[in-house]
Amino acid sequence: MNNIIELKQVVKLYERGSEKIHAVDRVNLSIEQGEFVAIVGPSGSGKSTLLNLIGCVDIPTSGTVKVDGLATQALKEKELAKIRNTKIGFVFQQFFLLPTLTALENVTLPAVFSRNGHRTKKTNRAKELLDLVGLTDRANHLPSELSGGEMQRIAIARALINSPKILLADEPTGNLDSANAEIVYNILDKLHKDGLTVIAVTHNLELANKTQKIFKLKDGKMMDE
Amino acid sequence: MNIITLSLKSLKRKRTRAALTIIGVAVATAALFSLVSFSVGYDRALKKEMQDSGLQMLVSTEGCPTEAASLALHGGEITKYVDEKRLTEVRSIQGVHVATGMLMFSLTEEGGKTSLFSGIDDEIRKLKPYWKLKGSWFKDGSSIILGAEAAKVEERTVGDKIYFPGFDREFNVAGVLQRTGTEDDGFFFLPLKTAQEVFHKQGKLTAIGVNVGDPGRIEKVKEQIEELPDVYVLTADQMMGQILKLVGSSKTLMFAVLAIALIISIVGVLNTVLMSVMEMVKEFGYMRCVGAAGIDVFKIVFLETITVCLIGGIAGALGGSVLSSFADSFIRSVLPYAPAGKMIEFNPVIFVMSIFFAIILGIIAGVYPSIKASKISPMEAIRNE
Ligand SMILES: Nc1ncnc2c1ncn2[C@@H]1O[C@H](COP(=O)(O)OP(=O)(O)OP(=O)(O)O)[C@@H](O)[C@H]1O
Ligand SMILES: [Mg+2]
Repeated sequence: MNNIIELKQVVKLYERGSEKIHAVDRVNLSIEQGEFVAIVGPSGSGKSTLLNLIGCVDIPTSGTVKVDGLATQALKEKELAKIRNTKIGFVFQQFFLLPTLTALENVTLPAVFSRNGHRTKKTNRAKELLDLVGLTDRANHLPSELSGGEMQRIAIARALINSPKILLADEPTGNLDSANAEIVYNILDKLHKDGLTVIAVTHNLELANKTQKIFKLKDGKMMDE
Repeated sequence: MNIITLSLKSLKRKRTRAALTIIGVAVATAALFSLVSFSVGYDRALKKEMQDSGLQMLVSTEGCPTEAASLALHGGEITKYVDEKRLTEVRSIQGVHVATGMLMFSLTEEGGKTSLFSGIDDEIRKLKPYWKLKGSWFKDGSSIILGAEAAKVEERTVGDKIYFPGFDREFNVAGVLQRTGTEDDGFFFLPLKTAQEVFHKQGKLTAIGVNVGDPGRIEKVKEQIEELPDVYVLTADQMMGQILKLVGSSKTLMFAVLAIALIISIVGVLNTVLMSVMEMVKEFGYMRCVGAAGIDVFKIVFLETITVCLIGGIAGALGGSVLSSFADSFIRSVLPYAPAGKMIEFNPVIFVMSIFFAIILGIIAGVYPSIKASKISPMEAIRNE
């Protein structure tokens, strides 16, 4: 068994004053290398929180998260940064594009922090990726000049710049009409076919049904598949 | 794109704030540059003034030595006099090249205008080889020689007559000195005998200027002169020492003010950078989310601070170079003694040093905000969204 992602009894607890929120509650989950899976569930069920834990943006309150064989809670911040940078591509629900950088620069950004690879090579790769998401003509636009769907596609391009092993996408089609959602879905499917492990959080049942596996979350708990 | 361009981009966005910070650093650097230039230039100008005047020793009577020192170079009045007999005695001492008697005094006219007079004899020309005379030396007892500035103010030239109501005498302008850049420019020079007469100080001198040629002989000659009755001998080195001591406290004060200015400017830069880090918490969070390490964020903030200080430093050093040429007369007015030559000259070492200092200022001010920025966690991006 070749699990690139393995979660055991993972709990993420948020405390708001005396109120305790189990955003993720004792979740067990294994995803194999090269799989294309969907995580579904109602709003507030903990999908983004779970994705953050897998994406090394957050660490669990208890339990273990293993990414590519490494237990994240045992790692130093510097090592987590490296995993975020090189192993994982993350399409955030709110995109997290830098407002001062153009579309092309935003796509290139993770490469700036990766230390390897030539500068022009990085820029060329960023241009290829813009082409892949169909936004070549928006290369020099700032995020404020882009539509929600365009920002989402820029975020996808950015997630791919360092050729990650794992792609995490939080509602990648949330802001898109069905035609554009189809385009994005096809991109994800192609990446999966090229060997990438793709994990998508979605409300879009059509997209979910095209994946190999669907995980259902409710109140932070994993429902039976 | 790299870390440096990211850093510059964030600077560019905060143009106004960056410009203000740059101005702050520039002012501090300009002050530093000017003060250090002045301090170095002052000592150099003073030394040059001492060398230019062939005056190696000043013989006066017991009294405040600094008063005598200032008097020797700038003129003025002291109430104690040396007996003229000493002049002949000094001249007869072996090793004395030149000994010249001087009687200085000032005359305040009714309107409040003060004129400086100096009674001199021929020998003084050997102590002031740089004097260039238009016209001629004294022809007789009613001759007068004007310093360049004095001639300009009085609008007199060679051949004119000049009348001083203060002692009701008229003189013939025999010569006018070319500008020397020293205090001599403002003087009216009279033959020693005439000066003693109009000021009722017959047989009296303010001081005797002495030159012995080889500086190695100064000590020996000094000892011999000191054996004469009622004299006090001051060497050029001592005069300089006295002046430097006197000016030292002014310098200390100036540098204290400068130190305060620099501290304020460090705190100012630190505050600005810290504020900007606080405003950019989200963005640094985004960068961390896509794999920026703490050190990357540190570099962005740190480089930004250094850049601001570098630009401010260069602007300040350039501004200081321009300003300090105007600062000369201001500094003169606040110092107890200022040499006549140009005090502030452009010095490339001080220029580079000032810029370097601005960079150090940036390093000190930048470290804390940069560390703070580097500690921003990726979770900051997610919070409250
Ligand atoms: N930083 C936080 N502090 C406190 N509570 C939080 C925090 N982040 C999330 N939560 C809570 O955790 C729960 C899960 O949130 P999460 O964002 O994971 O939901 P989600 O499934 O992604 O929802 P959506 O579909 O609306 O994006 C929610 O109840 C939310 O209010
Ligand atoms: Mg969510």
